[in-house]
Parts: sequence; structure tokens; C-alpha cells
Amino acid sequence: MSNNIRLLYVEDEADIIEIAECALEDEGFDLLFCSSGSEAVEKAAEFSPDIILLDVMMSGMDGPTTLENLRKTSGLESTPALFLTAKVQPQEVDALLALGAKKVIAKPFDVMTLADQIKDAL
Amino acid sequence: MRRYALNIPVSTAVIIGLLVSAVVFINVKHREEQELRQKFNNIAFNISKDLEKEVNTQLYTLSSLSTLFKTAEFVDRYEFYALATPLYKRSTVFKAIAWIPIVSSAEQARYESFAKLDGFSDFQFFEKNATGERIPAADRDVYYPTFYLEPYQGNEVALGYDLGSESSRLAAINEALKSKSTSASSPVTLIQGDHSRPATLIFTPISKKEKPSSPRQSISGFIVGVIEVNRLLSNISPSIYSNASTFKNINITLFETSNRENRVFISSKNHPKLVTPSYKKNTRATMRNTQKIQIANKTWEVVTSVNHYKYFFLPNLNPLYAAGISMLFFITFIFYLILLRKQKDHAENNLKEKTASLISSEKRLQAAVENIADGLITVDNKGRIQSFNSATERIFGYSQTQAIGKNVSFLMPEAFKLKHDSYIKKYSETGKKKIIDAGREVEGLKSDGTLVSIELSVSEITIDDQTVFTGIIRDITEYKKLERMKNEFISTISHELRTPLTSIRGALSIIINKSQDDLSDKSKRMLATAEKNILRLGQLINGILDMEKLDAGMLSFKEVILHADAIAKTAIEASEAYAKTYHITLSIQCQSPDLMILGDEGRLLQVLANLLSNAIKFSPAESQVRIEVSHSDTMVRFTVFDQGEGVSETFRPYIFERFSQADDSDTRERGGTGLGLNISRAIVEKHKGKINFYRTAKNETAFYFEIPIFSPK
Repeated sequence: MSNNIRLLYVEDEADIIEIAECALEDEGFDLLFCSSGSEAVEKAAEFSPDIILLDVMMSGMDGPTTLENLRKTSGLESTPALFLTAKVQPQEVDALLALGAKKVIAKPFDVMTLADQIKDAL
Repeated sequence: MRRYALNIPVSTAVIIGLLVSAVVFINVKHREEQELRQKFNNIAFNISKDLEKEVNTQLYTLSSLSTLFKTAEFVDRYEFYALATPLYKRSTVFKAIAWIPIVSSAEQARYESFAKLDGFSDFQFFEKNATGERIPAADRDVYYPTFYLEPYQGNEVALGYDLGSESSRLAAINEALKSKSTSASSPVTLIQGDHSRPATLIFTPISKKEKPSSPRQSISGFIVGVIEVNRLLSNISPSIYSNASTFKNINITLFETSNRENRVFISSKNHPKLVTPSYKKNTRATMRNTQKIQIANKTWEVVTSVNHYKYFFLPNLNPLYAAGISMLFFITFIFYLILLRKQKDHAENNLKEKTASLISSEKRLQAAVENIADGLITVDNKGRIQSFNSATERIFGYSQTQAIGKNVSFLMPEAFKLKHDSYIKKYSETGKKKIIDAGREVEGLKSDGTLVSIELSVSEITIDDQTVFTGIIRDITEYKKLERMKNEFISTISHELRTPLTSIRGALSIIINKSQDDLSDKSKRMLATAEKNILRLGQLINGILDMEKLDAGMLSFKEVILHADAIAKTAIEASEAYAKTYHITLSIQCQSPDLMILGDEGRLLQVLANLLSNAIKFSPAESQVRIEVSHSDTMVRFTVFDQGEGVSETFRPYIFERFSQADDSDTRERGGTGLGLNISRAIVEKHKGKINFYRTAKNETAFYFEIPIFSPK
């Protein structure tokens, strides 16, 4: 077992996943990308992430719902969770934080600082 | 036709008015006349009684003088003077008082010599002839000469006059001799007077001391009082009997009526010169009263008359006044009738015109109401629908006939219906109003059970004391749809546009930062350009989003307490990289490190970033841009100075407007969205501050904004 941080990233945009992969590789992460909320709920227990990164607006199950479902999975009840969103109005951010998220990262994110922002949340 | 209709009531009123006035006049006049007559009779009675009393009182004084002559042996002329003077002086009626001895023809010479001894050298018994000339008394058995006479002055001519020479006087003498008591003569003209001054002589007999041989000789002479009747009458002042203004010119006329057939005029107060009684002809004498009085043995008639009496000027019950007032009343009444009639005609005409114009304007109004695009609904104070125009029919799907009379709540969805019903109930109980006044978006319930978005404006009007609510209803379904589309579009921009942007920006950033070594210089320059433009695109999208939120009033702020200079420092740090690309150095100047403000950190940083990026963009290379944080008593001011060209004169008014940029060339060269300052201004104003710019003395451009200092209390 490596000392890498196990990051579950739920994002329905393949391009964004690819960018994020590039941004986060060689930064000490073990990554599991899921392209939908349901996929994440399915794979999360087995992956057992240290931290969860969720896009808010997704087709199918959206970010908050996905988080809600993940919290029902044993072992993930208190795993730190972060949201990535284009909606950064103060009340929107507050609403997301109220769902139990540790942090809200604004889209478009800065690829150079993304890894550090995630690590800060741990 | 109308003229006749007008005349009948008016002429009726005129006739009635005249009749009533006449009746009032006659009645009042009659009553007043009666009253006046009574009053007048009282006056006349009093006048005559006073006359009688006056004369008889004086007659009594004469008899006292005659008693003196009876008892005294001899009364000389001086004694007579001494006794008579106070009598006539006290008296108001006697012109003279005289002693008349009865002198036989034998004694004539002796009496004449007595008088001459008394100093009357030319004294003689005399009489007057037919032409009125003085002549020596004719030969008679007995003479009745005026022997003593007081006052002598004014009566001189009468001294020596034989009273027996004239029939009226002689008649009175004989009567006195016969009755042995006072007698009065019929009116005579005095020797010393004229025709205008009738007089009556009062003969008081003087009895002899010794018993006479015959009754006729028992009288030695007479004390005679001369009463000038005019003087007697002038003593009577009618004004003491009545209010002078009631009876003007009361006339008193005296007649002697001793024998029945013959009434002899004595004198009249106001017409003393008229020997012939004028009153008989003067039938206009409206009031006359005759009283009889006794003057010695004579009966006099006192006729009091008045031609004018001033009942026209009586303050109360004046018949003319009464008639005038009643006439006036009727005239007023007639005018009122005329006026009423005219007004009625006028009103009828007006009503016709108005009704006509009302009908047409009503039609026009109805047409307008029917055809307006907005729904118009009126509701009474119990919530019942009174009118329902065709636009409302279209909106709700109910026909007018279905809607009118129903409670308006049937057009409302269930939740609102209950609220409305309770409101109406409350309103009718307490009069408390709670209505939607300005336009408000609500939902209406259509006939098919679906909801329709409406904008409702309710206002309250009062028609004929009835409160009516008018509702203007606008179907905003289309508007709502458009708004939804706009929101969706914005959402698309924010998500669908940002997502690819994130990918592109991320990809470029990774290449530039991680694969530098594998790239040619040209590729690196190209990638740098691409990255710069992707940032710009991101800013533009953010700007548009902010703007939309501003318009929708949805730009929200999360106010926290902030250090002013900390904000400035953060802003500088954030713009450091950008400044470097333009070869600009940034600096900061803080006046006071403890200044606190209340605001949204992100938004304020956004403003500062905007001002800084503008300053950087427009500064010449290698120059300096600085932030200065200063403050007044109440405001903190952030100023960004640059050494650029500044804002051109023509552009100044528009600099804070949307999509405004100095010119196209600038835009192309410097980049920017044209939204920054507009959004900045909105943000600053939300913080109760203001934003502006100026040119400094050192030729710097200074953009500043200031917001209130936060002072914790």
C-alpha cells in the first residue's frame, strides 16, 4: 500500500476528467474517476477513498444527491468531500457547505493549484 | 308649450300673492284704525276736559274778585290794579280783567269825572258805530262802561267802552243779571282786538250790600274776564296727550251751542283765521270727536279732529309694511318658482344631453375595457365579481356570464383562495384592508383546472359610496416562459460554456507548466497567447453572468467585517502576475492599518481587481500602479493610481456604462469586456458607497471607490 491519497472524483465531463488526471498525476494521489453518481455509489465502498471530489451539476444523479448516497455507504460517513462547481454565488456555496462538504472549488479551476487545494481539505 | 307650463304656476302664485297681500293689508289696517280711533277719542276727551277745567278754574278767581267789590265800600283804581294784576298774571286764559259798574244815565257824568280824576282826561262812555268807529255812548237808561281795566297796556282803547252798546255783550249781561250768576258772552270781537281773535267775556255779577228794591237792582256791576279763545287753545298742546308722531296736526275747534239749532264757531286751533268752519267740507278729516263742555252758562263743543295720522310709520302692525312684506314674500316665492322651473328645464335638458353623452361615453368606455389586452375585473366589497372583460375571459377560460356574481376566489388556486376568503371576512368585520396594490405575480386558476401566471394590480375605488376593487390582470405566461428561457440560457452559459473552458484552460496550463521543455519557443508563445485569451473569455462570461444577476437583483452579498488594507494587499497579490505580463510594478500605501469595513470580500476584491487590471492595461510599460487606502471621518477610500493617458473627455460620461470602452482600437489592443466598471459601480453602490475617478496634479489617473467605515458599537 502506497502513502498516496485515495481520491474519488465524480465528474460527468470526460474532458475535465482528463485535465484533472493530468493535473493530479505525480502529485501523490491514487485516483478513481467515476463519470456518474451511480457509478461512484457502486464503486466507492470497494475503493474506500480518503477524500471525495464531486461535480455539482451532472446528468442523472447530481453532486449533492451522490454525496447523500455515498454517506449511506459504510466507511464513508465522514470522509471529507469537496465540490467543484461553476455556481459560486455565496448562498450557493453556503448551501453546498451545509450538505457537509469541506470546501467548494470554483470552476474553472486552476490546474496548477488543484492538487494543493484538495490536500488542504484533508 | 313650456312657456304656458311656466306661466300657470307663476300667475297663480301672483294672484294668490296679491289676494293674500290685500287681505293682510285690509285686516291690519282695520285693526290699526280701530286702535288709533280709540286712542284718538281718549285724547279728544282729555283735551276737552282740560279746557273746561282750565276756564272754570279762572272763573273762580273772578268770583273771588267780585266778592271783594261786594264787601268793600269802595275799591279805587289802584286797589283794583293790585288785586287784578296777580289774577291775570297767574292766569293763562285772561287777556284782561275789568270792573264794569252799572251806571244810570244820571250817574254818567259823575263816573266820567271820577275817571278823569284818576288821570284819564279823555275818558268818556263810548260805543262803536256800524263802521266800527268810536262814538260817545248814545243816550240810554243804563250804561255798562269798562271802568277799571287791567292790564291797561294793550287794552287802553277799551277803557270807557259801554258793553251794553253791543248785543252779544248785552245778552250776557242780562243773563247774568237775571240769573245773578256768572255768564259768558257769545264770541265777540274785542274793541282792542281784531276778527282773528275771537273772545268771550265772562261776566261775574257783583251783588249790592243792601237789599235791593227789585232783583234787577241787586247787582251793582260785574267783574269781567276777557278770554281770548286763541290763547286758550294755544295753551292746549296735543303733544302732551299723545305721541307727536302718531297724530300730526291735531285740530281743536270750538263751537258755542247754547241754542240747539245754532252752532257758532268760536275758534279753531290751527285755523284761527277761518271764521267759517272748514271742517264740514273737509270730509277727508279721518277722525273727529266732539265733546261738550260748560263755560259758565254756555255750552261749548270741542271738536277734535285729525287729518293725518301716521299709521304708516307705526313700528308694529303697520298694514303697508305687512302687505309689503307679504308681497315681498310672494315675489320671492314667485321668483323661486320661476327659478325652480327654469332649473328643472335646464336640468332636464342637461340630463338629456348628459345621458346621451354618458351613453356614448359608456359605450366607448365599455369598448375600451372590452378591447384592452389586459384583463379588467371589478369586485364589490364582499368579493363578488361585478365585471369581467373579454381579456379576462381569455385568460381564465370563463365567460362573462359564468363569472359575474361569483366570488372572485373561484379564480384562485386553493391555497390563495382560503387566504382571500379569510381576508374578505376580516375586511367586512373590521374594515381592515389588505390588498395587492402594485403589480404582483400570482397564479390564477383556469376553467380547465390548470394554473396561469398572472400579474395582478388591485386598486380600490369608491363609486356612489360603494367600495369597489378593480383588478388589472396581465397574462404573464409568455413572459414567464421567456424568463425561464433566459434563466436556462444563463445556466447554459454558466455550465455548458464554462465546462469546455475549464478543459481548455486546464489543458493549456498543463502543457505550459509541465511540458515546457518539449516545446519550441514559437509553440510556447502561441500557447501563452491562447492561455491569455482563454482567461479573457472566462472574464467575459463571468461579467455577463454578474450583469444578469445584477439585473435580476440576484447578485448576492455576504457581508463580513474586513480590514481595508488587508483587502488591498490581497488585491495586489492577485494582480501581481497580470502586472508582470505588462511589466508594471504594483505598490500599496496605507494610511491607517486598523480601518475596518463591512462588505463582501469576494466582490470588493473583484472591484479592486477590475480597477487594477484597468490601470495595468492602460499604463505605459515599466511604470507603476499603486493602491492607496485613505479615509475620511466616515468613509474608507481605495484609490488606484496609474500613469496612463487617462480617460478622454468625451468618454467620461459613459465610463461606468455597460459595454463601454474608450474606443475600438483600445479594446483590441488591451482587451476587456466593457462590463467591469459597470459591475464595479453596482457592487460599490450595494456597499452604500460610490465610485469615481479624477486626474491628479502629477498627471496620474486616479480611480477610487469609497465605502463606509465599520465602527463596532
